[in-house]
Amino acid sequence: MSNGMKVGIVAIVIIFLGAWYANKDSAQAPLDNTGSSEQVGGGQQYSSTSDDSLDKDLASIDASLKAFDADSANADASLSDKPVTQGE
Amino acid sequence: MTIKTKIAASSLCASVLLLSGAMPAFAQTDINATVGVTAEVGTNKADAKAKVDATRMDKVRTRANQEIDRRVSALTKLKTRIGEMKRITAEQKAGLSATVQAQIDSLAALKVKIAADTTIELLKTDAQSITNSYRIYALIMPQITILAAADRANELAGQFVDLKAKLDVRIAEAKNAGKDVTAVMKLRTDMDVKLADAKVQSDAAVSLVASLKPDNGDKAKMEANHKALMDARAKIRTSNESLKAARKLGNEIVRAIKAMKINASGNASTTVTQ
Repeated sequence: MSNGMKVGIVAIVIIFLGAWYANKDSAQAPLDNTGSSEQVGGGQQYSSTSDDSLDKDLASIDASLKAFDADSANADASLSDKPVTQGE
Repeated sequence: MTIKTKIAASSLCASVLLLSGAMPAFAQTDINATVGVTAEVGTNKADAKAKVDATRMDKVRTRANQEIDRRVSALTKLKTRIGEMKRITAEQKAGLSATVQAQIDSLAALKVKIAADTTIELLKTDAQSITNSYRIYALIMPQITILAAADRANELAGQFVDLKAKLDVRIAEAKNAGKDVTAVMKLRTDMDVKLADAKVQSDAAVSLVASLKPDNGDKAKMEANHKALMDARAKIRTSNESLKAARKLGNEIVRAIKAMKINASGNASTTVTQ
């Protein structure tokens, strides 16, 4: 086997290994989910379903519900508003 | 006529002549004194009136400024809240902000005019215009706070979509592992019912208030606006209660899933809405 052929075979092996490694990374991406969620192409979002992730979602909903209470109170206040009487 | 009599008559005449010459002088002196006193009284009266007017103007101006400041403060907070709204288009947001800003600008201009008013009459007219413009304020404040609350309900609905997707994955995993998920599925269905109700209510609230316009003094329209605002307010309250109930159900589902002790291995997939 000539040196040229050896170099060629090594190059092909390296290319195959590189392609395999790259493919392995992209296939694992949606599952390798240590955070709560990851957005990928097509508008799809993949989220961890761990207990921690569920607790975080509930906490986030609680914060928004608290803000909703404030919005609701503002609506009440605006409907019962009375102007300062003008004149003397 | 004796000499004595002549002298007496001459003295009398001289006295009369002297006195008659002096009388106009006395009379003139009295008139001058009266005019002087009258002028003084007039000046005092004018001063007193000016003082009274100044006090009245201070009172009117203070009340007017209090009301203007109160409204500008509330409108500024409302504008900030509009900036935080997430589920409306940029165009809708810009429209609401412009409505609020127009009110703020109008009140600021009125405040400048009130500060420059030089008569009580002008000042009272300007102060009265604050009362007249209240109808616009009394419409847009509740209208936009209700829209903001509905926006929050929609934001929450989006958060529940994420949670539901995860719960569904976990329930499926538990079922595949041979666990009885009947009770959990029931809770999950109830959660959907509450979330659907919350959305129906908040959407209805938006429909009720989105197109309301100032009444411009039309009493029937004012009453119709008020009724629509009150109805919308009730729907927002119901939406809030439904979302809280959904949150409670979500918590029960999470507790039940945790108690099953099935390790989460999957990922939930949700469609992201921009």
